[in-house]
Amino acid sequence: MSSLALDSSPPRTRRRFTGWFSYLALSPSLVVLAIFFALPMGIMIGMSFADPQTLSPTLDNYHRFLTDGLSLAGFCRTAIMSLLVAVCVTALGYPVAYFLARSRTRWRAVVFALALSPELAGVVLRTYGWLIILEDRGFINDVLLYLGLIASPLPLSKNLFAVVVGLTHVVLPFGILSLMTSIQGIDPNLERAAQMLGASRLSVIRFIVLPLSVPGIVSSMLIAFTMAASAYATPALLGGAGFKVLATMIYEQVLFYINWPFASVMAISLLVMMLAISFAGVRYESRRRLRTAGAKGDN
Amino acid sequence: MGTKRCFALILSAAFVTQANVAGAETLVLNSYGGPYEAIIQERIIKPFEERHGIDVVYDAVGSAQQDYAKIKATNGRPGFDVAVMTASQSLQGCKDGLLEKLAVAEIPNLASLSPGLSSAAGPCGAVHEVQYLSLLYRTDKLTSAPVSWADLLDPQLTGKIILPTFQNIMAVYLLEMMSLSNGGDLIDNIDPGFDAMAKVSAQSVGFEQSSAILESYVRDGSVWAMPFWNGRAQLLVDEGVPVDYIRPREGTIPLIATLNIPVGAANKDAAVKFIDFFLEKSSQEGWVTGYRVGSARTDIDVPAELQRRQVQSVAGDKSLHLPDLMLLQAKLPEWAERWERDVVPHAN
Amino acid sequence: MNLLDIELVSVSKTFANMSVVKDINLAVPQGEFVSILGPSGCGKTTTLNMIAGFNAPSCGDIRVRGRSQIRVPPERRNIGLVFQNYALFPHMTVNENVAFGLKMKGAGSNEIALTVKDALRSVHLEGYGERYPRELSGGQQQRVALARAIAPRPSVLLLDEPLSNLDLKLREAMRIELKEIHEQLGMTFVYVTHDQEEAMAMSDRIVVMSQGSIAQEGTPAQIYRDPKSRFVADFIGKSNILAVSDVKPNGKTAEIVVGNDVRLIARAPDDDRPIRYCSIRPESVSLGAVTASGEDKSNRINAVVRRVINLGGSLEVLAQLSEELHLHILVRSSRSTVAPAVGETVALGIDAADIQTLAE
Repeated sequence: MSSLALDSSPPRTRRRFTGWFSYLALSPSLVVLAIFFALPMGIMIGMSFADPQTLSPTLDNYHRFLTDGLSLAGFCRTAIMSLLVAVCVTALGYPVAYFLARSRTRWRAVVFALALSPELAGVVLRTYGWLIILEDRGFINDVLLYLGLIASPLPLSKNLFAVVVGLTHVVLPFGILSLMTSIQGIDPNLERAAQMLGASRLSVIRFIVLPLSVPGIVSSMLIAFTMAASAYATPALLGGAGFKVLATMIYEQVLFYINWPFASVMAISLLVMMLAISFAGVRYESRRRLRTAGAKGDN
Repeated sequence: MGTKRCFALILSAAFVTQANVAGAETLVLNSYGGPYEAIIQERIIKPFEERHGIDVVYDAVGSAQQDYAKIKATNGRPGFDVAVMTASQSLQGCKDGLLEKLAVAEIPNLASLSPGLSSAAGPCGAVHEVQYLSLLYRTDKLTSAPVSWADLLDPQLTGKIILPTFQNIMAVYLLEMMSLSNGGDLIDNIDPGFDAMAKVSAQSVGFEQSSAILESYVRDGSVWAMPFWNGRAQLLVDEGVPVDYIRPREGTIPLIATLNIPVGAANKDAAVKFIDFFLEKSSQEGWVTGYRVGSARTDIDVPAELQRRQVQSVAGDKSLHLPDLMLLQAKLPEWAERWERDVVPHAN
Repeated sequence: MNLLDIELVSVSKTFANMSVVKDINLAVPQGEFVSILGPSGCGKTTTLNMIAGFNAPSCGDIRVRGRSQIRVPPERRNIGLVFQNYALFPHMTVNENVAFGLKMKGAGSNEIALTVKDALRSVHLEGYGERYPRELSGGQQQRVALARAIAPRPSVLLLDEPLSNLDLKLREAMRIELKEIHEQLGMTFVYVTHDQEEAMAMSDRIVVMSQGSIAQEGTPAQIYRDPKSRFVADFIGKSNILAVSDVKPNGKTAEIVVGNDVRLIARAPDDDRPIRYCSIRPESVSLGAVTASGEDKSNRINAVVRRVINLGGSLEVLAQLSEELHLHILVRSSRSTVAPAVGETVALGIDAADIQTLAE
C-alpha cells in the first residue's frame, strides 16, 4: 500500500477558527455594538447623575423621579399597559398561531397574509386608522349615536383602552409568529395520539398543546411586553395628554423641556422594567424546561 | 482608466457643477407646515428666490420649542440656516450663546421695526410677525358672541371646547390670562390661573397638540369655542367657516414671532439676506395680508378692516399683556407638573 | 358467529390526482392478529390512517363492528393506535399517559387507578408509574405506548410499525411479548410493517400490499409456500425467480422449460392464466439427488458451483445451471457437511411441489 501523503491542513484550519481568530471574526460586530450601544448607554447613565443646568453630579434627578408622583404614575401606567397588551396579544394570537401551525388547507396562505400584511402599512398609519375609528367623533361613536344607542360619545380614545387596542394591533403579528413557531415544534403525533384516546379538538388543545406551548406563550408575552413598553407613536396618538407613558414622557423631557438628565432617569427606569420582566420570564422558562424536556415525543 | 475611477470622477464632477450651477446658493429654512407653508412660499420665498437667485429648502418639521431643542442639542449646528421661532426662544438662545446677534448693519430693515416689539425679542431675534391669543367661536352655535375669557366656563359650552396641550404655548398664555382675570398675575401669583383652568378643563373634551388638529374640531362643529391665534382664526373666517374671534375684554397676550440664525449656520450670508427681505415693507405687506397677522413695522399700508383686528404695537395697547419671557421660560417645568396634576385629570 | 371487527369495502384514496390506495377490500374477524405488510409507498400507512380516521377514503366504506365510520372523527371511533415514535405525552407521567384515554371517557378516579395498574402490569412495567417518558428506554416507552392504547379497552388496536425504532434483540423480544398480550386480551390487532419477518412471526394472517393494492393475503405459511406473484415471492423470504418459456400442464404437475433448455417438473398452476415465471425457495434445493429420507427428488439437474459462503449454521451456494441461469441455494450444515468446492459439478435435487409457477 502506497503511503498516502495525508494533507494535514484540514486539522490546522479547524484549529485556526478557535482562539484569537474567532475574536477577530467577531470584532466588527463588537465594534459596532461598542460604538452604537455601549457608549451611548454609558453616556446616558452618566447623564442621569448630572444637574440639568450645571452638569455637576447629583442624585436630584433620581430623587425627583421617585418623589414627584407623576413619574412613578407614568411608570406604573406603562407597566400595566404593557402587561395588558401582552395578555391580549397572546390570547388573540394563540388561535391564529395554532391554525397557521397545523393547517394544511389553502386558507393557511390567506390567513398568513392577513395576519402579517398590516405590518406593511407601518405603525403611524395604522394608529391613525384606530384614531379615526375610536374618536369621540369617530366611526364607532358616529354609528352608535346615529342608531340612538347612546346619548353622548363613548370615551374610546385618549385613554388606556385605546392605547391597548392600538398596540395589540401593532404587536399582534409578532406574537402570532412567535407562537406559531413554538406550536410547530410540538410533534403533531402527540395530538393524533390524544385524539385516538378520545380527546376532542378542545381537549387536545387544553391537555396537550397548551401545556407544551408554554415556552412559546412566555416568549410571546415577553416580546409583546417589551414592544409595548418602548412604543412611542401609538401611545402618543391614542393616549394623548391624558394618558402618558414613559416613552411619551421621555420625548417631552428631551424635546420640550430640554432636560436630558431627567429624561435619562426615565429611560433607565424603562430599561430596568424591561430587564426585570425579561429576567422573570427566562427564569420561569428555564424551570419549566426541566419538566418538559423531549417535547418532540421521542427520546 | 478603470471603470471605477471613471465613475468616481464623473460623480465628483456632477457634484461640483451642481453646487456651482448659475452660482446658486442654498438656504435651509425651518418653519411650519400647513397654511403657513403655502402662504410663505407664495408671498416670501418665491420673490426672494427670484430676487437673489438663492435656492430655499423648506423644512416644516417641529414647533418653535422643538426647533430650539434641536439647536441646543447640536450646539448651534442644527442643519438649518434660518428658523422661525418666537421671542422666548430668541431670548433663551441669546443667553445660551446659540443664536447669532443680528445687527442693523447687515439687516437694515431691523431699524424700521417698532422698538417695543424688537426689545421684547432681544438682539438675537428679528420680529417678522405678531399675533395674539384670541377666543374663537362658532357663530352658528352660540346665541351671542363671547366677550370674556370667563365665557369658556359658560354651561352651554360644557363638552364643547378643546384645549391645547401644555407643550403648545397657547395653553400657557391661556393659563396666564385666566390668572390675570381672576386676581392673580402673569408669573408670580399664578394660583388663581390654575384654579380657573381646572374648571375650564372640566368643560373640555380633551387636549390636542397641533393647531391643525385643534382647528378640525371647530370645523366639524364638535367644538364651539376655543383659544386660537388670531392669524389662523382670520384664515378660517376668510374660508367661509361659520366662526369669528374676539379679543376678550380682560385682554390677551401677544405672540411675538421671530426669525433667528443659529451660530453654526452654514450659510449666514443668505440667512441675513432672507431676514432683511422678509422685513421689507412690501414683504411685510404681503405677509400681513396673506397670513392675516400683524407686523412689527410701523409704516406699512394695511386695509383698515384688517388693521383693526391686528396688533400694531405692544407699548400703546392696554389690552396686550406681555410677561417677562425669560422668567416665564424658567417657570415652565414647574407649571408643567402642576398642569399634569391639577388640570389634565379634569378633562373628559 | 364471527363478528367482523373491521371491514374495508372498496376503499380508495387519491391525493391530488395520485392514486395511493386502489380499491381495497379487507375483512378482519374479531380477535385476529392481521399484518398489513409491504414496502414503503405501498399504501399501508394511508390505509391505517383511514381506519384510524385521520384521512377520509376518496370512495368506499370503512366499518367497525358493522357500523360505518365514514363520518366519525378519530376521537369517537374507539380504536387504539400505537405510534412508531411512541408519541408519549412528555409533560405527563407514565400513569397520567396511560390514564389519558380513560380520563377522556370520563371514568371515575378509582376505576382509572385500577385500570392503569392492570395495563402497566400486562406490559410488565409495574412500579414505573411516576416516571416521565424521557426517563425510560426505547423499549419501555414502547410498552407504555401499548399500555396507554389498550387501557380504554378499544375494539381494535392499530399498530404502526411500533418496533422499527428498536434494536434487533429488543425487537425480537418485543414480538413475543406483543403476541402474548394479543392472546391475553383477545383484542383485534391490525399491525402495519415493512418487515416481513415480523409479520411472519406474529400474524394470524398477512395482507401483502404493493402500489396501493392487495397483492395477496393469507396465513404466513400460505403466503410463503404459495406466492401468487413474483413480488410476493421475492418480498417474503428469499426466492429464485426464473423466467418460464414453455408450460405443459399434466394433472397435479406441469412440465416447464426455464432458460433455453432446462426442463423441470413443477407444481400445476392454480388457474388458467399463462405462466411466465417460477419461484424456487433456496432451502428447498438439496445438494445431491437424494433426500434425507432417501426418496428421489422430482428434479435432478447438474450445476456448477460458482460461490460458496459459509454462514456457520448454513451454507449459501450459488450454482450455475446454464449460461444465463443461476440458483441460490441454502443448505443447513452440520459438522459432517462437506462444502462443495468452487467449480465442482454437483447434482441438485428439487421437489416438484417446491417449484411454484407464477403468472406475473
